[in-house]
Amino acid sequence: MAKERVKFVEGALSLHQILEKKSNEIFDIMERFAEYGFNRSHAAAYSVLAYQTAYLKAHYPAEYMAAVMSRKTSDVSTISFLTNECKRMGIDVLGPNVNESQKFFSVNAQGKIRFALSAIKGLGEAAVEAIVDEREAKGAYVSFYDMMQRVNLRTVNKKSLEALTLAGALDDFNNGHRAQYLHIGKDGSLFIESVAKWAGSMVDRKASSVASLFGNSGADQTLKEPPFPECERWNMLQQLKHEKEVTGFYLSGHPLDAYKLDMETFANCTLDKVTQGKDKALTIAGIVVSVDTRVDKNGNKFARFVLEDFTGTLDLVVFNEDYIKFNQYLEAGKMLYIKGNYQVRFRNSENYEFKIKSIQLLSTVRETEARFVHVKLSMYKVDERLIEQINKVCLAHPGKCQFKMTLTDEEENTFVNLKSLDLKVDSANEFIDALNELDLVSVKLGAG
Amino acid sequence: MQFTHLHCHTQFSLLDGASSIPGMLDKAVKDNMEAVAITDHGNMFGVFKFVAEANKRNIKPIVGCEFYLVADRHKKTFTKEAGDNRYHQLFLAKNQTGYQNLAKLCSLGYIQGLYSKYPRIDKELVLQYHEGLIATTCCLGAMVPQTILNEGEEAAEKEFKWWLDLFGEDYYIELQRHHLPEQEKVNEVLVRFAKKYNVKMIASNDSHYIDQNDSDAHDILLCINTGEFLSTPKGDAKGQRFGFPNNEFYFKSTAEMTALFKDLPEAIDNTNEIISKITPPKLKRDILLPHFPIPAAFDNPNDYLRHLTFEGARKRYKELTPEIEERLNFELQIIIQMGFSGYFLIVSDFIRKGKEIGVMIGPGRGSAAGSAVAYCIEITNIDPVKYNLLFERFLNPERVSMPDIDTDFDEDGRQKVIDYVVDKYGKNQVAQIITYGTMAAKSAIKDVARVMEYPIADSTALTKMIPDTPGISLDKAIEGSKELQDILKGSDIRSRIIKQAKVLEGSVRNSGIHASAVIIAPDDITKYIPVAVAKDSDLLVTQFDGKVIEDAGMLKMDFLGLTNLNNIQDALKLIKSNRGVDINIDEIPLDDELTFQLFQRGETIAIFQFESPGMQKYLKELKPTNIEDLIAMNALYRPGPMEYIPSFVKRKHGAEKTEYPHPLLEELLKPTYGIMVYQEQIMLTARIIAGYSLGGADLLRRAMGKRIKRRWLKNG
Repeated sequence: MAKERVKFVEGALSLHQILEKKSNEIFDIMERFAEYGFNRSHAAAYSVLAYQTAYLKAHYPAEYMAAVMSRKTSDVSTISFLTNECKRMGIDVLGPNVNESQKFFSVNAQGKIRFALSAIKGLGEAAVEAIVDEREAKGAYVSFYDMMQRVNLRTVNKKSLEALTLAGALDDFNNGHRAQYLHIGKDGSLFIESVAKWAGSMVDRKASSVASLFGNSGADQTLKEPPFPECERWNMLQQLKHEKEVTGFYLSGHPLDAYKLDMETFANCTLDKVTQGKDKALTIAGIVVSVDTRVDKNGNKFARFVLEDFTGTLDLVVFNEDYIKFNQYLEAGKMLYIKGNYQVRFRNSENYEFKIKSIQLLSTVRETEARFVHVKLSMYKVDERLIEQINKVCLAHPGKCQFKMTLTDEEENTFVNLKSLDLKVDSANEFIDALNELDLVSVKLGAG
Repeated sequence: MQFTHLHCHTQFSLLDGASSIPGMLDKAVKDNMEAVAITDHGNMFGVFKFVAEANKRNIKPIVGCEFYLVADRHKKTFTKEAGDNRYHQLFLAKNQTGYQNLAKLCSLGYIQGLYSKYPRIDKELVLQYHEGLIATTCCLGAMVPQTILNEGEEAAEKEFKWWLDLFGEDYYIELQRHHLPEQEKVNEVLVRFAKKYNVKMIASNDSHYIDQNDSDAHDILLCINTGEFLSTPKGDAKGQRFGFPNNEFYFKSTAEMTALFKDLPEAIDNTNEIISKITPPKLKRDILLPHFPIPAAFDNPNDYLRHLTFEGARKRYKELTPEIEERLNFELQIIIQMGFSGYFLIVSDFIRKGKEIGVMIGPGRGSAAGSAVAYCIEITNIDPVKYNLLFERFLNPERVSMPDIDTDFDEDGRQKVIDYVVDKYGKNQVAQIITYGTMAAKSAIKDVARVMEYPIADSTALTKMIPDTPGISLDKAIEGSKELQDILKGSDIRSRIIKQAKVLEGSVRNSGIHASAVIIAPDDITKYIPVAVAKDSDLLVTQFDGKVIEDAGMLKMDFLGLTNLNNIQDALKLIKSNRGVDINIDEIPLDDELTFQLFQRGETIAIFQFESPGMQKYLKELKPTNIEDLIAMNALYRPGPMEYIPSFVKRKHGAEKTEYPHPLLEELLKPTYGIMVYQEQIMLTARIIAGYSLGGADLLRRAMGKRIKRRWLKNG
């Protein structure tokens, strides 16, 4: 290297009359950067490729994201990550639909992303192709009966139809009443099976009438369609649970949707912010995604579980005593309300962990924690009629919570607290919903 | 007295040999041995490494193989009564021809004779490829000894004569003394044959591990292989497991061997005769370039490459300026002078074919993007003149080395292009590259613990004591852990597990196939290197791995699958079907406002190379406004140069003064605000300031980089 330096310095002097001090300085700089310098050819080629992907994302966001998601159909965590990105971009990701979904993620006429049929567990590749090919050849399916007569029922079999139902891909045909498809009829078979049987005979009849030279053109070729059965709809939670089973995702909502108000009111921290709450008492809420129970060296059971809310996930562990105390709550799908501390781990001052103090079901929190219901009303809207309406709703929902009212002046940014005297009200959703129907600024719950 | 081991298994006798090649050779050096042979079972996996390691130690490497020999290598259906009767057969390569025949036999053993996990050859092949080979009567499992035991001396003599007639002077009686009654019986007959036919005897030991102490570790290795427990008794009956009869199967010292054959000193001495008649083959060679067929109108590949280059240049450049013409001529001159025309033609050919059949191909990868010739013949798709990329960074006329052109394909297209290459050059000229899975520190403990029936939970606890540092060795882990040291000092099962794991650490556990690399040979590949076959591939697989395959003269090319290319391809299809818009992705404007806004907002999830959270943060600060900014960020966002990003950002926004080391460098360093981001800038600095040639500047840059790496290693 010393030789190279001399050569460099001599070259600089003879070529540009650069003095030794300066050229040595330049040589030093070169040496420093040689440590890190990157191959420009590679960076240029890869940046052009990066630019191409960005160009597509900027100009054709739905198509680009659908293309990216299509290569990850079996990777639930990546798909959910990309779905969040779509949400941020303002692109809806819709559940699968036999009339719109393609084999892979695609974009519909409204520019929304449709879930890939191939991402539904239990739906084979042949079934996916049968559904898509027929639709592309002869147009959309106008009804469930229409679809059943047109697709190959050997590939689109009972298992496929169950998967399609659970994923919500047949929602368009009956207003999303998924329970109907899997309703068990008097003959002990599922509705989808009855329709499959019916469709099979229909196809046979048509075939034989075509084949017969003297086709009995007068005779009625149609058998009566088995009607959609009368039964109760699945509730949201059931529906979401099934969606997660077959796709890995909650598609039509989130189980925690029903507890938004409770989580806002009674939890003081969302899961994405837990690590910022060092040495603080935190209350958190969410749904259990997975549980892993193990036995330690001493034969004691412990469990790791993952809690999820709208903002993210948190890994939690319960050992020994805590395990005995809490293990009944640890089950995937359970929605929990947890109090604890984010504190230094025993003996290890650098690692923090969330130490659980108590767990209860999220569905019981309102009952135990709600102390008052608080409504805000605008002074520009308040009149006797509104007061009367509030009063009426309150009287209809008696309970043990206090009722608080605040009158606000949005223009002056001031407010006046009004105290309701002896009115004790309920905290249940029916009451809150009824209040939300009225022309109020906000309806909130309060603890302690 | 000199003695040479001519019958040695290494860790490449998969899960049967426990000797590491360096360890075995070190023992040979200590014992003043002149030469050592490698004779793994059925394969030559370790041969290249063995020769290199032996040369390092000034030991004469003897290349051999202990084959599985059967009556008919094609026969692959057997019954319970008449199973596959495999005999062992040892061959040593006497010279280069012998090596080639050994490789040929070994390859054919796989290609034609593979049954279960055994590559098998037969006498038909031996007749065809015996030239240059030395043969011996081998071990107890070989034809002559087995015939002695099963059919008697007379039949064995007939068998013996077959080999003797074929190999003549190069046939030896091999005597092993592992204290086995059967062996004594066989040896007695063999000695008689030697006298009767005047055939020389050699002493050998069927070495499977280095020291006698290692026999337990070796036994554990056998259990790992067969999935048995160490506690299961050895034997052939039901409920028993395979195992060696005693602990005599090690790399014995000259003294031990001499003592063992005190009554037959000539058997020891004759090993020296074998050594003296062997000229070790040369395995290391310059790259052999495959032959690329050219149209009749051209005399040679050079003319054809020149033709294609200028034909392409007229399409690529609106106007062929003297400057561009000069650059192309310069590049061509170097490519031709270094003899790489054929290589360029081959790559260009399969890339064009790929495009033709609808495969999405990346714009370029690595330093090849710096070649204008590569751009003109469509190997790359970004213009090095426009982007100011240097050819010398790719091919340096002052430093002869193989150019490295790697190509990205979409995941589905990759295989289609490989299929084309196989079809064009022939299945016997194309191969994938083998990889070896070795037992690392943790897996060695896990494996040993299982065989010793140590509870899984406890063995997991034991492996947890080993840090997750990649490449950590057991010795290093023990050095850094008081806990492990204490365990090792004790005498409980954990101490034994760690001790045995230490012996087996680094053993080759299995073989696999390299994910992207393909080699193309100029001719039938088995003429140059041994190959094998693999279950999950239709292609041949080399027996030498990627670390040495180029040293063995094989041209390696990486065919990489890149999902981002599928993303682009799939998106273009969706855009076409949804909106009826046809986009040529290579012709989009590179100054698109909307695209740069996306980068400026750091909304780069799902954007190739720019999607990490750290990158998003820097993009928001930098607010890139042109492709140069992106190239710089791509180069800077790596461990090390990352420290320059804050300065880079500030300088772009004028919050820090942009300074140049010298006014002459202003133009060169302007796009990166005075910071040297690229190797090319370092090279050009040497040229601008001190008049270096670009080739010389590349050498300077490499020297600087190396020096720093060395310093790092010292300090680190």
